[in-house]
Amino acid sequence: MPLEPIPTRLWRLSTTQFSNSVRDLLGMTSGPAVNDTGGSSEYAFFSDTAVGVDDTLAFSLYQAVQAALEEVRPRIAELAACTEGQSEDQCAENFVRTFGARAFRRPLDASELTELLGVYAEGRKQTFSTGIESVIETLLQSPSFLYRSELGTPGAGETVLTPYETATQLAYLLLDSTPDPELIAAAGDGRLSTPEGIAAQIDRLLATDGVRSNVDRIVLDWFGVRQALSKTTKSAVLLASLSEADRNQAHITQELLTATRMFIDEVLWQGSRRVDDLVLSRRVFVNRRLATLYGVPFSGLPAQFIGADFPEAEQRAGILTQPGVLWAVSDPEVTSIVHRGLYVHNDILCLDPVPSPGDLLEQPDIKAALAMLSTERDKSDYRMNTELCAGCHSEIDPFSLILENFDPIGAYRTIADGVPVDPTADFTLSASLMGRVTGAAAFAQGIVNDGLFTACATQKIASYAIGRSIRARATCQVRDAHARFSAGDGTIQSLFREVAVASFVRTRVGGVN
Amino acid sequence: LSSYKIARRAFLRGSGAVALLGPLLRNIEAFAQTGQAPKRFLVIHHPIGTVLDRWRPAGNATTNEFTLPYISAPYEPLRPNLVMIDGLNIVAASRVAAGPTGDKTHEGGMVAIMTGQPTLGRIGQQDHSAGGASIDQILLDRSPVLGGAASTMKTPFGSLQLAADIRSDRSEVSPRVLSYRAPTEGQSDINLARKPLYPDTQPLNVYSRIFGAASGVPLDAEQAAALLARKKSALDFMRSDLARLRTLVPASEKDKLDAHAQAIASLEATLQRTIVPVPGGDQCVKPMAPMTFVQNGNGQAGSTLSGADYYTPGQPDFHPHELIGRAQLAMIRAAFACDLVRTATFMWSAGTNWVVFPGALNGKQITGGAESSPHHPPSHTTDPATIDWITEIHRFYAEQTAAALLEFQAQIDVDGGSMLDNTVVVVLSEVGRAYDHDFRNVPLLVLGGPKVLIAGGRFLSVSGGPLPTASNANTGNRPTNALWLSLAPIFGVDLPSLGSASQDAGGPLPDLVSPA
Repeated sequence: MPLEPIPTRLWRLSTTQFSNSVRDLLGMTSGPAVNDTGGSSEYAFFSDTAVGVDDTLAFSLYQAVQAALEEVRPRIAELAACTEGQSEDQCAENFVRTFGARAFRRPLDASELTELLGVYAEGRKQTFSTGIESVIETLLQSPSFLYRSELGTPGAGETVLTPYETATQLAYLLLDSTPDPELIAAAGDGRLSTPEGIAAQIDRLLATDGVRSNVDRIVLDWFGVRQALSKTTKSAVLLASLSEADRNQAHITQELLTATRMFIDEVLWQGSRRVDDLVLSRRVFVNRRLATLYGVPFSGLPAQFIGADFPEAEQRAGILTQPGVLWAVSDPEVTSIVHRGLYVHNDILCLDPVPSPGDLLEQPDIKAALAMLSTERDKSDYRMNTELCAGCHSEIDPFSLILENFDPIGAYRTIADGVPVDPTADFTLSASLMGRVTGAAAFAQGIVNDGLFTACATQKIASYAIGRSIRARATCQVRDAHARFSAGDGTIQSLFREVAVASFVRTRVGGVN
Repeated sequence: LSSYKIARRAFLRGSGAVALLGPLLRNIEAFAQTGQAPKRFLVIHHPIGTVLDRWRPAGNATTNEFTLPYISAPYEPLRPNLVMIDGLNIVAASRVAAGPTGDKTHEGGMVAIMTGQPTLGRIGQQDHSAGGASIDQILLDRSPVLGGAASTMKTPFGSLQLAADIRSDRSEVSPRVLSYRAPTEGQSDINLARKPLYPDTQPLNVYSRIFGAASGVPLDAEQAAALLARKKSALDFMRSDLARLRTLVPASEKDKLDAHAQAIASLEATLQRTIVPVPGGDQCVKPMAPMTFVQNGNGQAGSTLSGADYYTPGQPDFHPHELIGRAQLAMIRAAFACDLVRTATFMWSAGTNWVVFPGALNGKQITGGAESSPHHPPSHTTDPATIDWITEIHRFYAEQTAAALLEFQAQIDVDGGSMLDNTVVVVLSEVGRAYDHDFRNVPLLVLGGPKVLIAGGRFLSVSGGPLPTASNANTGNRPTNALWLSLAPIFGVDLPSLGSASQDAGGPLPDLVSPA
């Protein structure tokens, strides 16, 4: 099945991308904060293509630009970059042309240049600096800065992003910020018009520091850790190994987030760099508190995070069993076989969505039967053996049963609800996962052997790149990108590269209506 | 007029800035000349239903002789303006055949009561995607008097969406949004199709946007005119850039650009107020700037959802949740008084309220003896002691809402009367009964006065409808859309039907609105 086509569109910068872009354009250490108190949709791990600019955001952006101007005011002359012998007007025109092209991520047309020189002239009635400031203020609030254009070249049959739009896409995908001057130059001189030229720019960017932290963030959000950790309060019983003073869950979840990020960073940039190791590694990062909570030996300073390996006997499986992830996807008091199973189903394997139970949960006999059962395991057995439930739950619960050695905060256990844990389930998923599987590590090895995890990784990163959840499994385009990835070295860098070079990422349908 | 105000007006007229201000600031003076005040519409939401028998009077007949029980007693001083309605049920529906409708959920209730239309479907576990514009936006768009597109005298800001707290279960959207624009039809991703208007939780943001940011050093007339001219040239470029984009984008993106154009117009209004003070009449006074409230998503890792608790350990007398809510409602009152906006929605919290209250509240202790607890998690209990504790939370919201509305009542309007007499206020919740999310007999108040055709002092017990009542399987209740159908004509909007057949069965309420 092919991907649903993506229409030509305007894709508004996220508030983070706005801030990062202002930072890079004005040479600031950090970008201005943008008030976003209303929040936004936190589902999509990519920035939302549906959003625009409403009254509240327009004002927040105005305030952010004022704060940035306040900070760069002493450096206006430096930004204007007048050269020896240049008249003030020549300098201003040069500034409008060059800064305008960087802000709009394309050269300005003649009328834009003229209008912006008018903006400059209004400010110049005060001082030259005020004129330059007015231009910056205007550009950083203008629609062509705030929206990524994905309109392609009008008139062509198949719409393909222009070289400047491609530069923009690569920059926001890999850097979460505006294109650097080299990317804009590559768009201008035709290098971004060929697949080889695009690949060369991707490789250049992948070697920069900015990409590393951005890729870590994307991978962290792919697993939903940031979002899921934000709203979980665990039963105090689960924190019994900690002293009373150490049980602040806001602090613990913040530390789990840090630890998960460090795990991802080490696997992807310091170790093998292989995507597969995200589910195979036994590594964990702990400070003193987390070490106590998860029973890992610790010899650092209390607040320091150090890497350690979980004991082999725990059968840990990378992100599948990372404490931060299991804390996030489990319920407050119980593991929740359903929630954990859905997590593996949706985010580790990208299997086609299962329907919600709808009114089944309200059926008196089902409701009564579930109410009688107290343990997660018993409830799962009921679902798997009840015809109305089994159709879907046989596709969900097994993924969670192999994780039952880990409690609702992700700590290892061998006894649950008074009986020994049996982390065994039956699968009919792929060649390696056919029949009985015991434990998370064996399961992880199976999904690696059969390429299921990297196929999902490709689908997720492709979703991020196009700003749309690809829900159907194994669309032609994602399958092709996954095949190219599988033929290579298996690193996260290759994964981003194979997604970014794929032509579907730059193809749009429709034009002006 | 005080001499200060006269001086300020003289300054304005003489400054040359007035020419740039356009007609926007003259609304209030125009109303003053007619001797009439603008009509306004305000929706106030409080979370997690109520405890019915502590909210509605005993007996189930319409009467003007009634005693408000414990939870609603704080509204007693507003009795002349108040109609309590009992017997309306939220009716949820979905465009997805046989899909979950959101019945008996906080998430579904928020969307169903405010839009009155079938949802586009459900996202994740509970989040229901709004299938229509909310009633405030419908009225704003169509009314000739509420200041929106169809009005002859428009307000600088179309509508306000404010909240005291928006932390919600699983970061869902629907429990933390009251207002929606119409969804994008034909967009298959229902997360992208809905058009929520997210509320702002920071009063100082709202203040700066509506009344102008603190300007620091006062400007003389010449400086003000120069600054306005600079800002205007920037705004003109933004508009021209937007117009250029409009020629390049597909039809599916035009909505986005329309909203952006409105945002630029609002920004212009903000900048005018920042540079030149609101002139106004005696009634329109720029309020004091509120403090900045620390809102860090409660320290929850990665959450961008904002709010502040009622209770903080070690600070028993500091209630930022209360302060934020009252500041936001005061902002709406001041914006109404200056005719900067005539339509607003306010929510105390998300429908799945995560505001933390003390474990002992007015002498009632939550079972288990916790020092504190958020409102939502224990609200599903049937434990009597905990219900007593939750009753105190409902009472708190009633006290604060009533106190804020008394300020609306005391506010002298441009016609010399009370602002509340010119305002229709609907106070609602997203479920009826808290513990099982029952959608029947949702707690509802309508406040207003004769000028907006609301005769107060009444307990209105709905009857004759097709829906089940709270007490038993009898029918008699009506859908909550009956309320919106009744109120729309007050604002000159013809709204004969709304939502699916089940959502507006029975038409408007016969007894709510007085004949014009």
